This record gives sequence, C-alpha cells and structure tokens, in this order.
Amino acid sequence: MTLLKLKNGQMAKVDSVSPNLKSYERLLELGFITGELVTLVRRAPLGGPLQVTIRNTSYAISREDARHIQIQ
Amino acid sequence: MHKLVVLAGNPNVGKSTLFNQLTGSHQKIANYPGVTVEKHEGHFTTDTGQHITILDLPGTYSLNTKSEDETIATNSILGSGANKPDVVIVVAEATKLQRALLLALQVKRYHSQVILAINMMDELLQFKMHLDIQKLSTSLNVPVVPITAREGKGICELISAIEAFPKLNSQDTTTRSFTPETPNSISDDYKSINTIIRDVLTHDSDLKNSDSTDQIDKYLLHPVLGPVLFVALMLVLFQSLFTWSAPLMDAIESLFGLLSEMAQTHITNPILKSAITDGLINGVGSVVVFVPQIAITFVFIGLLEMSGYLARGAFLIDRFMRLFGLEGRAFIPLISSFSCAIPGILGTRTLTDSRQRLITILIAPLMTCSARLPVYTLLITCFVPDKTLFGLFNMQGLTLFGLFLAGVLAAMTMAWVFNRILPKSHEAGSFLMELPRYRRPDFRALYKYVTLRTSAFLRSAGTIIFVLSLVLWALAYFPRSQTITDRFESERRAIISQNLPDKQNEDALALVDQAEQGEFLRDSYMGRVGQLIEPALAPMGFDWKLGIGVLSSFAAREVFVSTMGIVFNLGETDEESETLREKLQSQRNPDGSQSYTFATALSLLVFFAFAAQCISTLAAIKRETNSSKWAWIAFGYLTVLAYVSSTIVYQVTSRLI
Repeated sequence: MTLLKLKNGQMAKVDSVSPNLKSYERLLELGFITGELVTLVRRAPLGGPLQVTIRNTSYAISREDARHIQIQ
Repeated sequence: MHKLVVLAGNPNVGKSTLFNQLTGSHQKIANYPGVTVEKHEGHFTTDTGQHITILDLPGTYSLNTKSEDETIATNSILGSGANKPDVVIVVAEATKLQRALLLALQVKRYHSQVILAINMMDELLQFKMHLDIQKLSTSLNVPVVPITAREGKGICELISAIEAFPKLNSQDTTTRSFTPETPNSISDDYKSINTIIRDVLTHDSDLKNSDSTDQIDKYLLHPVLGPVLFVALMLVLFQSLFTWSAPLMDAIESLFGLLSEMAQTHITNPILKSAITDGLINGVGSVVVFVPQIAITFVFIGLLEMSGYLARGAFLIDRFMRLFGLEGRAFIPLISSFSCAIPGILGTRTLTDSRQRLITILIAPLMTCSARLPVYTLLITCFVPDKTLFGLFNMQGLTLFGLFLAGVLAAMTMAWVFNRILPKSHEAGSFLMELPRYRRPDFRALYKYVTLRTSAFLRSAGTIIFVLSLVLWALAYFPRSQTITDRFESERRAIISQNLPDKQNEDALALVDQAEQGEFLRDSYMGRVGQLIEPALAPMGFDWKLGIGVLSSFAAREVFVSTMGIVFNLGETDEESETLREKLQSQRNPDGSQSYTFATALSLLVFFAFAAQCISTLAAIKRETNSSKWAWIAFGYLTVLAYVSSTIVYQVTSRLI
C-alpha cells in the first residue's frame, strides 16, 4: 500500500521508496528508510501536496511522490 | 593565526543566526561565480587573537550534489588546497538530530576537524526530551557544543572549540576524493544513527509533548479556513504596503525636491545645473523613492519566512501555481512584485529549484508595479470616459483592473512558455519542502536581513542608475542649438519691451520658457531619435512625441509623465495635471483629426503594462541570476511582448471605435 492511500492523521511504517522517483535520494536522506514511522497529517485542498511527519519533522511532499512510497 | 571555518547543516536550523552572532556586522554577501547561490562570508577575532574567517554555507541534507546549493556546500566543505576549511561546524536542530547526523557522519569521512553544534536546545525542554551531550560526543568522536544561537548561549564554548583545533597545514590536504553516497550507505548511516540516538536521547514521558505548531496548523492549514486566512493576510500585506510606504515616499520626494532647489540656486553653469537637477537628482530620485516599498516588502518576506508561515502559504497555494508550471513558493515573490518587482525578484531566494527560480524572476516584471500607476492614471483619466457601464462598473476603474489582469495573465502565459522552452534542470526532486515549527521571528536578524539587502540593492542599482540618468539626460539636453536660443531670446526681449504689468509679464515670460524647453527637447538627440523611429512607432499608434516619452521612461516609468509635460511645453507637470490632459486631447493631425485617441491610449497603456522600463529591475535580475544574459533576455522578450501587444491593441481598437 502507498502513503497516498493513508487517511489524514494515520501513521504507518515505511517499507520502501520507488527508486525511479526523482526525489528518491532526497527522501532517503530525510529518513524515509525501511521501518521508520511516518504520519500523513493532511492533504492540501484541491489536490495539492501532502503534509507528512517523519522523525519529528513535517514536510510537504507531492502526491506523485506519495504514490511511490510503499508502507507496511 | 588565521583560520577558515565553514558552517554546514540542514536548512532552517539557525545557521544564519549563529553566523550573525559570531560575525556581527563583519559580514558581506556576494555570489559564488557562475551560480546563483549566495556567498555569506564574515570574520571575527577570538579573545586569544585568532582571526577566523567564516562561511555560512547553504543548508543541505547530505554531501551528494543534486542541486546548486549542495554543490557549493560540498565543495566548500571539502575545499581544495588553501580553500580547505580548518574547521567544519555542522549545525543541528536539537529536536531533529538524526537528520543532521546523516550530514555529520558524511562530513566526518572527509574532514578530520568537525564540531557538532546543537542549536535550539531550549526546544528539547519543551518536548520533554533529554540529550546526553557527553555520550553523543564520545559515540561520534567529535566535540559537541550545545547552543541557543538566538540568545547567544553556548557561543563562547563554540569559539573555544574552534580555537582548540589546530590550523591544517597545506600538506594535510589529503582529502579522499569525494564519492557520492549511495542509497545503501544512507541506509547504513541511519542504522548507526538510530543506535547512537537510542543511547543518548531520552523522552521523559511516552507521549511527546509538542509545541503549539500542530495546534496552530489546525487553523492555518484548515481546508477552508486556511486559504481564507491566507487570502486575508495577502490583502492586509498588500494594503499596508501601499499605505505605510506613502508617507515615507512623500518624505523622500520632498527631500529630493529640496536638493533640486538647492542645486538650482547654487549652481550657475546652466549645463551643470541641468545635468545635476534634471539628470542626476531626478533620475536617482525616481529610484530612491521606491526604497521604502522595497524595504517594507523585505520586512514582510523576512517575517513570513522566519515565522514559518511562508511554507504554509506555499503549501496551500501550490496546486494553483502548478497550473502555470510554478510551485507554491513562487507565490509570495510574485505577489510582492505588485508593489515593486525588485524585492519580489530578490525574494525568490526561497525557491530551491533554480529553474523555478529563474522562471519566477523572468515573469516578475509583468506584475503591475506601483511605478506604472502614474502613467495609467494620466492616460486613463485623459482618454477613458468617466462613464458607468450597466450602472455598476466605472469604465475607468474597469480599465485599471483590466491592466492588472493583463499583467497577471501575461505572467502566467510566459511561465507556461518558459516551462516549455527552458532546458529541463538536472536537479533532482519534485516538490519537497520542510514545514518548520512556528517561531517568534528574531527581530535583530530581520533588521540585519532588510538593511543588508536594501543597501546591496542601492549599491548595485545605484551605480547603473547614476550613469544611465546622466546618459539619458544628455541625450535629452543636447544639442542646445544656438538658433533656438537666439529665437527665444528675441521673443523674451519682445515681451519685456511691451512693459506689461508685473504679473502679466511674468506669465508671458513663463510661457516662453516652457515653449523653449519643449523646443529644445524636440530638437534634442532623443527627440531626433523619436522622430527617426516614428515609422516603427506608427503601428502602435504613437507619434514621435509619444516616442520621446516612451524612450525616456525606459530608465524609470514615471519619467513618462514629466517628459510629456515638457514635450508639450508645460514645464513641470504630474499625472494630475489638467493642462497636460487638455494638451493631449487637443493635439490634432494635419488633416484635423485627433492625434491621440482612445486607441492610442489603450495601446500606450498596454505597452507600459509589458515593457521592461525599469533599469533597477533589470539590475536586480542580473544580480539574482548572477549573469547579464538573463537580464538581456528579460529585456528582449518584454520589449517584443510590449511591441506586439501594443500594435495588436491599436490596430484592432482603432478599427472598432
């Protein structure tokens, strides 16, 4: 299942990030590695980016990226 | 002894605050050659007499060079020869330690003298976390210094740590050549980091107490309330920008008026007098008058960024901006450009993607800036009937609104175009942005930020304006044909010999002066150029007189109004001048038809909406892109856009009406 499918406020563990993603390396550097806890906080209105929290830090990531982050 | 120290670390961790604490006023901003990244360099001397040069590097998450920022940061950390830093300080945010440690571990592989400065220690308390500094230091094998940069805590200890490291001798430059980190090495590093952190970082309770950020976000990022509050904030910003800068702008205008008067009375040589009053004081003054708006815009951008709200605004508006190929962070710089494109362009610093930044910079001048308003006012009140359509919409107001809209639509279109034609960047990543915690802005840092940037602008634009004002003045002044001087002198003598009562005498002489000014201008080099290019201006509906106005306003838009005043023998005028309006409306062609019609006015308005008539803006573009190329490209495409649009508008309107 991907991060995009989470409900607002739901938490899950990162399984993997799709390596063909442009942001792959960046996401890894920010800590999106296997086993790390990530929370989908909210979606921006009208199809905008997602706010996720990982390791006590909040980020805005694109829906496209969220679609390629596998979670457990 | 002289040492080179670099400040590395993730973005938003307070590196700049630390940098300010260490260097005070001994800092300067420049550009790294060839790229748009800013170089922040400063220096200070320790109590024991060590001279430290310190570089505040761009914030990065790792040594891998996926972006311009990272390339600069990594190159500075690794250094080459004499440029290898003696000490690398990795600044970390206390509550986001793991992410910082990734960079720290990477840096340690290439540099032996590293200090880990953990900033915002006060937040650890807020989050009921506890950090064992000593254990961390031992595990990492680097000195660890806790600091709260904003309050100046821990700075002394940090300086001592810097002093403790010896200077690297040049033979010591046995740096491993850089091999990029792989996903595996990143994973492994994080595994080590997790182990270390488990050992040194403890929570007092199971539930992490957060600060008010999440609570505030419930409102500011609420799906309905969020955008509403955002729009409201933008409106307030906008409004206050104009109302607050008005008194300051008036004050500056008065000041320059005073200077002008002083020059008029004390300089006798007529050429020098004109050069200084009409050329320099006017030219430079018309730019300096915008400094209040520029400074206030910087204040707003600075406050938004430091408080953490900027990221939220970008988050909310991102989807909308994507429609034009722009990202959320481009919004604030573009909105700022409505007052003046310069702080908007300089505010594009917040965009990390250099391609996005370039596109935003290139379209910023299309936002209707305040300098266009005097021209709009003059032309609209002159040529647009003061009628109300359908009892609701005033035609004049509608035209003004239409011009604003035209600017925005043109900007969105050009953004789309540039997205298609500019080479795709090799930089990695789609939209990814940290939403930092809400923090009280550091007002001292804000003050420094605003003054540094405003003075940098004045310096770079100032020199160009200075030179250009003189050049344009000279073109409009020379040659002072003796024939003309003689002719008007005899006119004056004729009036004086009539022995009219004082007031009538004065008025008559004033009329002669104005006529003489007009004649000189029409005969000047600029006037001759205007007449020369009249065929090119004709498709737009301009004659050579309007041509003079348009040419002279390429330095600064507002100059158009005063130039028109002079061309029509009116001397000193502004956009409120009734006489100027009458003059424009009463101009007749040889065949008796009106020279300047509604179509002319519309065409002129459109020209001013698009043309790059602001040297200061072009200077800002050059500075921000660190190359003249893009400034020329901006000038080029805007001129073409203005010419084509203006022509179309004139040709269509003159046939319809």
